[in-house]
Amino acid sequence: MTASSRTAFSTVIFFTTALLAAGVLICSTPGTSRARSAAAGLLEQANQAYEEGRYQDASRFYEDILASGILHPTVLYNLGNTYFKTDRLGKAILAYERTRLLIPRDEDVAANLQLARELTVDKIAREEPPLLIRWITSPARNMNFDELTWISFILYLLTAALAVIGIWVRPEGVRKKILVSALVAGVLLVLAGGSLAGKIIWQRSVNRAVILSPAVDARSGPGEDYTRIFTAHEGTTVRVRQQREGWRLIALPNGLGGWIPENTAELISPR
Amino acid sequence: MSFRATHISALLAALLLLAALPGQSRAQDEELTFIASVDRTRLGLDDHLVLTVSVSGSDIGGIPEPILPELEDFQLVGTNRSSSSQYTLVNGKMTSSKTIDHLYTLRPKKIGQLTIGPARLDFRGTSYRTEPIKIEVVKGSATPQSTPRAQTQTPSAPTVPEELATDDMFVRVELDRRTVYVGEQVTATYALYNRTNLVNVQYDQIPAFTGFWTEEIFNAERLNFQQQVIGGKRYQVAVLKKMALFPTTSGEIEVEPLQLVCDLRQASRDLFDFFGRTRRVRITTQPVDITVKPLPAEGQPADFSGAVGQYTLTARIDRTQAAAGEPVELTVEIRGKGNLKTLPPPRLPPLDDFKSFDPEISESISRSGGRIEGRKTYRYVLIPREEGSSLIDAITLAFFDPVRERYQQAGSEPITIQVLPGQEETYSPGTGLSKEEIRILGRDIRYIKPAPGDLRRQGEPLYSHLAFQVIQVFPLLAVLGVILARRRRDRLSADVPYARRRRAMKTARRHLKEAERLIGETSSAPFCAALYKGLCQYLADKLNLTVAGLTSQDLRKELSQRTIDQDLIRRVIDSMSACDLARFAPGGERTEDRRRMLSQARELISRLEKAGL
Repeated sequence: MTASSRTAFSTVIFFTTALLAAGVLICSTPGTSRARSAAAGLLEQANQAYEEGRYQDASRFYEDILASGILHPTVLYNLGNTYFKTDRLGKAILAYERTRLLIPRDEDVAANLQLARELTVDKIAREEPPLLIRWITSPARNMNFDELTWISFILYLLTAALAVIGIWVRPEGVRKKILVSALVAGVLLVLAGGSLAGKIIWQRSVNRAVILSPAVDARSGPGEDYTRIFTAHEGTTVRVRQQREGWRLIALPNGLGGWIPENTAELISPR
Repeated sequence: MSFRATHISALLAALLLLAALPGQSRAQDEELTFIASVDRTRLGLDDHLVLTVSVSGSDIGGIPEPILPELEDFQLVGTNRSSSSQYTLVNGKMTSSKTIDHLYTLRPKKIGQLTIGPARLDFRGTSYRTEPIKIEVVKGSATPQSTPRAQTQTPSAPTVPEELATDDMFVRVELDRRTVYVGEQVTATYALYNRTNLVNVQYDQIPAFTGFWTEEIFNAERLNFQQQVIGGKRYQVAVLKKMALFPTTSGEIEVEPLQLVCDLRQASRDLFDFFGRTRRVRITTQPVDITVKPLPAEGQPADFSGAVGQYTLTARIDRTQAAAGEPVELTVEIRGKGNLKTLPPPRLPPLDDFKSFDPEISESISRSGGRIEGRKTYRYVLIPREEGSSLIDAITLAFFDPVRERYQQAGSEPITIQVLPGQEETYSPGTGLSKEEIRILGRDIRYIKPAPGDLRRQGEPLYSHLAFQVIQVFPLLAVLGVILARRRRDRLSADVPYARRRRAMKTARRHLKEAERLIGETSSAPFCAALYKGLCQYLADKLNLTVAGLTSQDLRKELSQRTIDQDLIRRVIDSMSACDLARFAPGGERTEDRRRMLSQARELISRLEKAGL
């Protein structure tokens, strides 16, 4: 066995081990199997209640599953449907928004969210960002955190493996080809990693909330005595800029801002 | 002038305009024509004017009402709407065009040149405008037949009329009933009572009948006086007008007064005044109230849409057998008493087996009996879709009968049509008959998702796990490691003295191991050769010299240059020469001696290593 082939072999072994370790890590997420089967039973029950039109019951069951610590997109989506059917538009939109964070490409979620939004009182003109921005942000918008993380990780391993082989092998022609491949993989890695980083930064810096009260007055300051600036209605999605003493400074998509009581809206991704 | 005549002339005017302007308004959009016209451009202050705003096109379903211009100089007296449709079947494809006429009855408020501004219509993102219309309004009445005249007008100029408050002459309105339901007919009769020398009569003010839909039953062209005794006084009585009023809202509704301006001849004491003097007076009716009751909520059918009166409904088709794709005409006729013009269309049963078009509506109204009655006909074009027996269920009209004071329903018998197989081309795609866009009937959220097999918790994102973050270091380390390894390998292949130095220890050990193996041999030559070779090779590698030409002088010189301890140099050289000597000379055959030599060689090599050779 020559020295170079031994190095390549050990590299492959190394990466395989790393991947396996990562896989084990992902699969060893908390939640005992007993709790899981209990939740699965509850989900069957909830779906049956929904099918029979007992939306209130179904809604309670889904909420129980989520309370048991199982955050599953199906449960969230179905819960959103029960809210919609029981005329709790704000909560329905909140549930769909949360589902969309987990499964961003799901068409059912998008369709229901759109329908629910059309039924809200507030019609706020939403500015469509330019095509270039939409194109650049599309991986971040259409993939969830874990998908982006996995893609980035695999590209990272691939780039590293190609780099190792490319650095080590002797025939100059092969070496060049491998290094070019490594460069391509590296560019893809930068795109995927950049999308992931952007998504993380966006999620940390932008707090979005959904109005749950039928109508809430937004005021110029955190208190009942301040001037009313506008009235937001149930289901409107707003951005939270500041939070203090039970009040939130919200901003509408059109830039209008005002303070609303904290309990009239709920954050889509709670801190 | 009857309303019917106005209607027709307005339509004619609209059609003429349409024909006269083939390119102008059509240039904007092939689909739609939007035109305003009036029944006359010169009229008197007392006259009415009918403004017809007509919209026609092939696809004007759901078109909004046109927006009228500001009509400051006019009073809007009444509105009406009529529509007609035309169908043409070309190559098995049905095209339809529809015309909707919005009729506005206007009364001018002042004399002079007035302008009706453009009416506007916004439809499917396009804004349409009509041309403005100029109207000349003169005093009195410009149309002779609309003013009742008793006698020829006197040549002397009339003076400003004065109010007359005697019972010698008065105008009176009589209502046939004072309490009615919404939509029920009230007949108002205006009559002039006179016992003076009446020369001339003119309308000064005609009631606007606000709150009513009106139909004129009678309008006197000549006053036809009849004698009548009221309260012991003999009067000449003439009926001026008879109106059918249909209240549109409930409550107490006042009918505005009617005013007449009359010229009276006064007996003159002046003998030379042959004609005498005329006196102009104005007489007014007393205002009257009508109590309008709302339609009872009790027993109101679900499909009731405001029809009041007494009606019967019949339906028929022009043939009972038709090929699929061949149009069949369904005629629904409603006959009865009531305000047929505002009658809502009958309710058709769902016609799933047919493609149906908007109906063509025609009316025939009789006013002769003092009651508005007649018939209204709806002609529907139906195209059967598939062969077989198709049933048209009963067509119904729910109405309120004000005489019986309860809701009734008029309905037709169900009709069966035998649909024969159609021609092939009717079914071929692209004809527009058998193919249709999928209609969205309702909207709802999408259904719930089924329970997944594995209800795994989706907790913290992967990137935030510490172990995952730690793993990220390894590929980087691997790359760094391989870079270092590569650099070393490159140096080994490029720098020969370095490569030899790096290899020296390994080679020496191999030789010494060989020597150790030969330690038990009877002949000492192989052992000594291996030992000597080990030392020699080691030094040659370290000093980058060739083994063949290695002399003790060279060694001493080279080692001294590398600042090796002189004592050590001496021992190395001694040891080497001892070895060399033992290779050829006998002796040193004892194992202990050999062992001592070997350990000495090992010790020397390690000391040289330590000395930094």
